[in-house]
Amino acid sequence: MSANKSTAQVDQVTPVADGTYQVLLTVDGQRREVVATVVASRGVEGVTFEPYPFDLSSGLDPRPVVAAVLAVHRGETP
Amino acid sequence: MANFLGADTAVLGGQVTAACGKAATRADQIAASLRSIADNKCPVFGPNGETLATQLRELADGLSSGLQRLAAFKATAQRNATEQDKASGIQSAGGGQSGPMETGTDDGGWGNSVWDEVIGFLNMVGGGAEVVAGVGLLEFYGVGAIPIVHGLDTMYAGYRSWSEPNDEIYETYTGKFIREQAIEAGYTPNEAAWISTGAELAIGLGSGLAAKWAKGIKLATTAGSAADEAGESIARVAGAGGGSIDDMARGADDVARAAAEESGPWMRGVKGVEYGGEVVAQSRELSCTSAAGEMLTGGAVKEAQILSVIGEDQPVTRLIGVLNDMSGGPNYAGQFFDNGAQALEAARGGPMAAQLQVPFTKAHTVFIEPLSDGRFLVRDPGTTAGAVYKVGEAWIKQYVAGGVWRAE
Repeated sequence: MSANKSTAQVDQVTPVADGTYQVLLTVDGQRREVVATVVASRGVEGVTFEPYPFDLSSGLDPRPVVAAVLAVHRGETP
Repeated sequence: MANFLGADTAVLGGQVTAACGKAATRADQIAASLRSIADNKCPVFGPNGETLATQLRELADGLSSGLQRLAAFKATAQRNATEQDKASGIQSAGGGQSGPMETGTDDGGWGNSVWDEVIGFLNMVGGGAEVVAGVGLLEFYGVGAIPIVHGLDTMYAGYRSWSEPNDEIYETYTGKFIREQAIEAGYTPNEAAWISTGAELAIGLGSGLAAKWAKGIKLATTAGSAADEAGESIARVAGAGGGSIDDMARGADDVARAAAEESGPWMRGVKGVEYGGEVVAQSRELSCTSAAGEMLTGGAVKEAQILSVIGEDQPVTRLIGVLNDMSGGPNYAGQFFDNGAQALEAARGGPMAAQLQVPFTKAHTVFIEPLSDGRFLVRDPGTTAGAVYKVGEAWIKQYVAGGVWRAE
């Protein structure tokens, strides 16, 4: 995979259980589905993925995906 | 036996042949990279980008056409190396100074002088690396104009040295400007020349590091490697000589060595890096996460053990499952963050394995500990012997995308 051409976008974040979300992404034109779980530790709320959404060599940054998941999560959590 | 700057001609011939063969391969890759940049990247810059695209395409074409001449030179050098009886065809310029290397053989239209063309070619390679790195930096960080301008300048000077049928090694406009300013400031022409050379090396050093910083960009990696190898090649070829080429070659070699001692762009500008010491250096190219896992456990679990379970090239959060399994309970936690403030908060909470992320650069995992002075100690498994350095809060906020730590 050519790192400089790698692109990704979050298409959809859908709740599947409490704190767990199905995330649909398009990575280099390919549809990809991962499960994101919102967790909190050290006073910080973040996300774990299963599987990790990107090939590490692609250089794609997971932080925008985390932000998308947390936005949905916080929107649903009073 | 005749010699060139004191070097054994047969050995020198072999070195030149090897260097040129490698340079030809890299030049071909760079030419392809330049075309790719021109086609895919430059349009985002608007009209100026289109101008740059045109220039890049022309430079790529120049590189391609030059490859045939390089192949001819390689063949000539090979003949000189293998036919030692004809070694007198390579004559010293004398006086321990750089000068044209006369082949005296049928070189397929190469011409009598080669040094101007070899150096011109290497300038094009080095300039190409700067341009590629600069384009990447400009696109993603809004900086990089200096590498682009200096890179194009270097490439153009190199192209003139390469292509014009004389023995001149053309000076870059950057170098000429600096030299003229130095003379106006009262330096002698000789001193001004060295000031100019030093300034260009400094610019090149910055660009070399920029290329490493952008190494996740495949194009930049290709060009950066070519620049590194070119530097090493110059050093080998000129290793037995004296004078300015030797000094410049050492400078290029230093650039290559400095770049090799970085695990990634996050080390750019970090002062006081200690290589080796109390750090677990990763045993494989992509086992940084496992090495950081060993440091996180204080050595209780070894890199090899983790690696045998998760394999190479894994995100930092893979440590959670494997370390919990090995420690017999939910003793480790972690996550990816959505912003720098979260990363900083987690890093302040204690030691953690941290995944570093720079856009379009391959991710890397290190081990971080908070210090009493508000800074953080980074134990980086990614260089040859591992590295230890201190960073501030801004570094954490910029680079740390995720982490794993002992559960509370």
